[in-house]
Amino acid sequence: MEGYLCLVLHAHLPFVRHPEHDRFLEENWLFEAMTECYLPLLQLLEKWQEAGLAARVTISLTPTLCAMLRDPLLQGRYQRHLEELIELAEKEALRTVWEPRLRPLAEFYLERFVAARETYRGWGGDLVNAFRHYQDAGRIEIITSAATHALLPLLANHPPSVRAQVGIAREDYRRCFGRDPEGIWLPECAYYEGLEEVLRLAGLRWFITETHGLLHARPRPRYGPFAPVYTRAEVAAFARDQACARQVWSRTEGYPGDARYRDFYRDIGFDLDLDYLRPYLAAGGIRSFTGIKYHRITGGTGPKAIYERPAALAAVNEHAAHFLAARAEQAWRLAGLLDRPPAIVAPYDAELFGHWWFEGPEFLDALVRTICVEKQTVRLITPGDYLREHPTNQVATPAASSWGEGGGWRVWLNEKNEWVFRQLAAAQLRMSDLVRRFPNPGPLQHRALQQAGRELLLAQASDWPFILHTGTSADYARRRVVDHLRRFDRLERELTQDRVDEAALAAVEAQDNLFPELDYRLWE
Amino acid sequence: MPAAEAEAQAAAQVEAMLAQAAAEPISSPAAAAPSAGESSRSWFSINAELVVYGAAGPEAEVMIGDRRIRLRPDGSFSYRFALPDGVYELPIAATGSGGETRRVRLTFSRSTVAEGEVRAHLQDPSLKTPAPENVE
Repeated sequence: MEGYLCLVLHAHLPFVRHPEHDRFLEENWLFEAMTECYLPLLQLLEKWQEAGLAARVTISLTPTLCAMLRDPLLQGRYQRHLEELIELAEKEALRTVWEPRLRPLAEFYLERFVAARETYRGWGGDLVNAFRHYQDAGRIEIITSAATHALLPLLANHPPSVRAQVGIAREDYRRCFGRDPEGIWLPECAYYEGLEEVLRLAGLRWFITETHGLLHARPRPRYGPFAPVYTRAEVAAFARDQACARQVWSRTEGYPGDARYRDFYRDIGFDLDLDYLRPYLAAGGIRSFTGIKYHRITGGTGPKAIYERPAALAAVNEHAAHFLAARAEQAWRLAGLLDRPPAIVAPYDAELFGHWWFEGPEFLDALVRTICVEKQTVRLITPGDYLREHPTNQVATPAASSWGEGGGWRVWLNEKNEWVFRQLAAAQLRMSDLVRRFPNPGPLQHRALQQAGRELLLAQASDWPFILHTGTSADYARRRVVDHLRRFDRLERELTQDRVDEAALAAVEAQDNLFPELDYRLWE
Repeated sequence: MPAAEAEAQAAAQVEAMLAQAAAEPISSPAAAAPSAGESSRSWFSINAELVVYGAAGPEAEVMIGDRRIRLRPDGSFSYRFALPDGVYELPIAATGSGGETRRVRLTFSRSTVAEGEVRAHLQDPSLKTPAPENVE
């Protein structure tokens, strides 16, 4: 064995739940990820377990994602969504009866959706419990993240907000997984000096930074990004490996851009007659992605060619072998420079695998099987296991960093979204004031303080400034920030004027219903 | 290898990686997704589909070709078929709750004569296929 590979899949979606509407377009973000990513991932874990493979991978499940996966309303809506998708696929299998190149694809989708339903039903609709099962069986390590995926460096000037994001995430993890989390996924890999002290107080043992977080650490780590360092708070920092990132994400070299892979954008939702599609579109009959796509990336500017599954699977095997060979070469180059095999840390958004990169789960399967069967090049390990095997590491302080464009915060703080942080800064101070003003709240005041905390957390999500930056769904993101801050304002006003409206409070509690046991004292 | 030399090598490697990382920034997931683009020049596309509809009594099993279809609660059904150029036969069978089967065989044909460039697929340019960096 020449090196360790830490495969980390970061699963996250913002809290999107709209009981006030029967159908809501943005709830499809969750439904699509469930069908295309989370259920296929669970199917992989099942297959690896059956085959007895030592496939130790790390999965971060953010608290907002867990809240949605466990929510009965969204579970019911997902079942409806999946049934409709199966019905559409059935219709497609008939519609394409005289299209011999499309029909096998229509039947392929139908089989996949039916299999997803089987897996979903097999877990009783509770995917959090499914992932917990694999952690309890020793197959995977699940880590937490900030409560609502806030970009923590942008909250650093208000330490109680950072404490609340981390502390509430830890409590939520305990409720979901029945144990304490060891690792935390820093949203967007965003780290600032001093964050480690908050993590230590929450009992966390390790996190991952972007590569330059360790390359610019003080003192410079002797082994660069290929071994973790201990911060002065004794929380370990691992670094993302650039080569692993580039091979998957790069616009020019990345595997998902191969012409043989399925095209993401060419979807029957944009190709077929609207009258036919309307019953299956999320909201208002507006054209949107259905998940049924018959074309491959193809390349060039001509028409897209029909997707050919065997060719795509051949590409998967080539890419998995290439990825592993590249790790072997890396490990070979590093041999002798380190006093132990290098730790190559490969974190990815879980939603890449299956959603953006349709064949991503098959790539993971091929990669993991080859590693586990071959047993020579690299060994899959979780960062937590690595620290148990190699408890002695250099002490250093990482540099402020993120994995976003430019390596800092400019994606989340620029002329398009800076207004969010001015509003948040004011609300955060007022939240801490509230906690000080109500050291012994009555039951209704207690509920109002909890809900104020929920609204503030939801406004802090990094997703909203990201969407405002990219421009798509910007109206929705703006509305979410404004709605949560307005709800916070009203609760604060009612608390300070001692006239909490119980009916209005109950309505907001029913809507933004995550973190049922939220401890607002963390904002003190 | 002497420790000082090893350290110098490690430092050089770190520098090289840093330079590479700086030269080719790794963007966020959405920005790196493969691209699709639609030409904005004028174009025309046309396609044809066939609608087969009907109804059957309570508890009937209806097969279109080799596939059993879903009936609406009132026993009616409506299915579409892509119709490329050619001649096609569609066998349909309905088996009632008593076991009796009724069959029909429908035959269709389509032929297309086009002048100028005509595409076979619908893809309205006003639909604005999302740019990769804008898809969440």
